[in-house]
Amino acid sequence: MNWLSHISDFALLFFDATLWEVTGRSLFVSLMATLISMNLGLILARCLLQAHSRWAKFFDALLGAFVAIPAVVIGLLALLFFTSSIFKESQITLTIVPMMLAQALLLTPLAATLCLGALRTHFKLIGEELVSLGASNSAMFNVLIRECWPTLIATSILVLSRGIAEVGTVLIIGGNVEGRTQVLTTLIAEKARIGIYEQAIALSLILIIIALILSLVVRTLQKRFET
Amino acid sequence: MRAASVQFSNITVDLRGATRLHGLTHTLSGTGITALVGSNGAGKSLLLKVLHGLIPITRGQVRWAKDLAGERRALMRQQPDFLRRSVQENLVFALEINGWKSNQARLRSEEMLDWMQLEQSANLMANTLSPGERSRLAMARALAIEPAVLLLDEPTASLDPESALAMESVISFVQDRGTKVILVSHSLGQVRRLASDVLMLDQGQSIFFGPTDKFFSNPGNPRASAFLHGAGFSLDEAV
Repeated sequence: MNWLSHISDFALLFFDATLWEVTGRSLFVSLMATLISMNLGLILARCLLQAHSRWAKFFDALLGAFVAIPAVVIGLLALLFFTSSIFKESQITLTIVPMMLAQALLLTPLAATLCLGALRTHFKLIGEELVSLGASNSAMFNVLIRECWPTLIATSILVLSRGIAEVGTVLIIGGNVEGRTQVLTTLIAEKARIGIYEQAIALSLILIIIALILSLVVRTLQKRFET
Repeated sequence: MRAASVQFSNITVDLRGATRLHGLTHTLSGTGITALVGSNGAGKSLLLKVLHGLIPITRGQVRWAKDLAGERRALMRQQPDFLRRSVQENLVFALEINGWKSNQARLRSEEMLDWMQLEQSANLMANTLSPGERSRLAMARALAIEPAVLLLDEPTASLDPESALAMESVISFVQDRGTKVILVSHSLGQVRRLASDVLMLDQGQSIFFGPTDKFFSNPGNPRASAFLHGAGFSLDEAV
């Protein structure tokens, strides 16, 4: 009987409009953060692709280190930044804009590292040929992007997965305000904190389903790329 | 007729902590085919890449004659790579990045496909071609831009004898039209048929430079003689 009640709780939850609003906000915030971080990542990757100076190598290593930086640290830095005097009048805090930007800051090292890896792999394969054909740096970069687009799409989905699953940044900078900055991960944290485990588990299931769909898309793209 | 094409002055190239080319100093003529010969690792392909500007020179300099300095140079690598595009798109790409307009590039690519007998494969993905077809596509791509200097790195290495001879006739034809050809080859028979002069390298050092006839009759260097008389190649092949 107890299990039946759990199942009915789950079922009822799926008809809750708030749940879909929170899911939609989660996807929107993470999609926008992914878009920003992929663009920044590609710019950084382009700068580092053919750079061989000590500074470039140092920056490369630094990016790798920033991939592992805890989300709460980025959240804290973003909070300090957005609550500083520059933004005092803008009332930007406790909106999804700083959440997106903070998440983009978190995801950019990962995006840059993965993009750089993909571009370097293709540069090793065809870089010398492109140079010998007379391709300029910008032509070469455009060709490399076109050559490895399935890898870049897979990269952006991995970055999105990391974004949608993280809780530290969005909790600190967004504050989990109902109807404004609440996203799936912060809602799960809240439900678990106050002991409503059924709802926390149901929300986690939605997150897992999203992660599975994204993983499926990555695998499909990788298979297509291999063939 | 061009007077002189390229002068190397004391070219030295260090790579990965070792000196790969040691102070090469020569002047190659502006016409004909110069063959670069030597054992594996002698530095032939490296010299070709240096001439194309792919690898920086540690010391010394390469000076192209005035009439070649601003002209196009094309390199056909031993193992050419292609973009994940069709055969024709690979040609169009090479032309477009060399300043050809899209419609002209398409017309030129069709001409090249016809010439290299690749018109049936125009819409196939370039990476699905056989090794022989890949060589022909690489040659088409190199010639498409109408280079003044053509650098060839073992262009017939993956071809059967019939296709190799067909490729040789293309090289001769291009040379007859005034293109300077610098050819790396392990086939001494091919060198004898095509080249007007020979530069032989051994462990990054020049051990012979002169007319092809002299190279095959009396290279005047014990290592070059040993090379000709069987150091890795049979005398029969040379004749």
